[in-house]
Amino acid sequence: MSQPTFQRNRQGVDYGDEPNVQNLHAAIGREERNGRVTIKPFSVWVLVVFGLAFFFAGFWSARTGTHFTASSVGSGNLPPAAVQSTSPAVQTGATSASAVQSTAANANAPVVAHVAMKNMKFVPATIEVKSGDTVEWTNDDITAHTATAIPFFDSGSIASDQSWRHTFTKAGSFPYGCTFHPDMKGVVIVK
Amino acid sequence: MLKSIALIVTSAALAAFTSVHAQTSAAAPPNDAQIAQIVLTADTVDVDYGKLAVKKTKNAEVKAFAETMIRDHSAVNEKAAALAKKISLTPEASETSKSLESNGHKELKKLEAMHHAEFDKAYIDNEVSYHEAVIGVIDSTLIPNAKNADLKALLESGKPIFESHLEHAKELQKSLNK
Repeated sequence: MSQPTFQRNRQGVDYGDEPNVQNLHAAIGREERNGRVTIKPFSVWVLVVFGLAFFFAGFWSARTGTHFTASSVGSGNLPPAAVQSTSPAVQTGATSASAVQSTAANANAPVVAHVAMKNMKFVPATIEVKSGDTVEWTNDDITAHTATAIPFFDSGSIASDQSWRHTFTKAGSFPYGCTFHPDMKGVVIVK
Repeated sequence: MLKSIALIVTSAALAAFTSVHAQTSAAAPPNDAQIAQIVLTADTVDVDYGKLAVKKTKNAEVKAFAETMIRDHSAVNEKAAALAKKISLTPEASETSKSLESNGHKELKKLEAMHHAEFDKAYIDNEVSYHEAVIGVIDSTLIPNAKNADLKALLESGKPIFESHLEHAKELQKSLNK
């Protein structure tokens, strides 16, 4: 029994006790197709990795490139607030570049959407997110509130100045309310 | 019988708070120290009503409402006390705060004598008229006369709380009258 076991383990292909030569060849063929981990000159993985590298390098240069425009040479290293106050043109450029960047990031990565509990209301009352996104409720009121949609989620009491998060993994429309204040109502729409 | 008692309670409460309202409008405008005391007293009176209701009621919705009154008015009071300390304001009694307090005690005595559905209805009716009266005082007297910006901001953030309570109480009033 030990001999076939040894042969089976060899290169991870099970043809150790196979008497049929054709089956043996087929097994070698399978092994060549998907058995070894090698990096060939134009393998799909190399293309993907380099492609992504160029892709993000493009965004990086688009963003930092604004620092080298004639009007911004003096203010390139200032924090955004200072740039805003000294040079509106640069501010516009930086904003659109960062908007592009955040859109690119948002397209894939889960995001955290924010809902305030303010003046006895959920603000915004309706919020739309993607499956996998998180909604964070922050209580800006003096009084405690909850974000509750039984049986889907229930924050329990959220004290003044405290937050609570829930990650939505199922598409649908989730009307919720505050257990303490029945006139407080909101909806989370998960796409 | 029940209806007439409820009617008497409601009209007495309304009369009491209308007179409170009239007094504050006619008398000299309250200063910040007096405004702080009016807020503290108004909250404390409602917390006391709430505590009595939690003890007496068998109705789950009335109990939840009373618990919210205790929770929210205690929170506002904590905030008001912290603010008074921060701006070195010693709350000062006034005619308004005194009549709020004495009317509160009278109302509490009446409620203590009631039971079951009769109590629930009288408590909720009183909450409706009480919150209406307090919102009236906040709007007509407290906010316009508050000098300190933080105190004014506290009153402004307190108003939606009272309005939310009023809506909640009105909904309960409807369901109890069914």
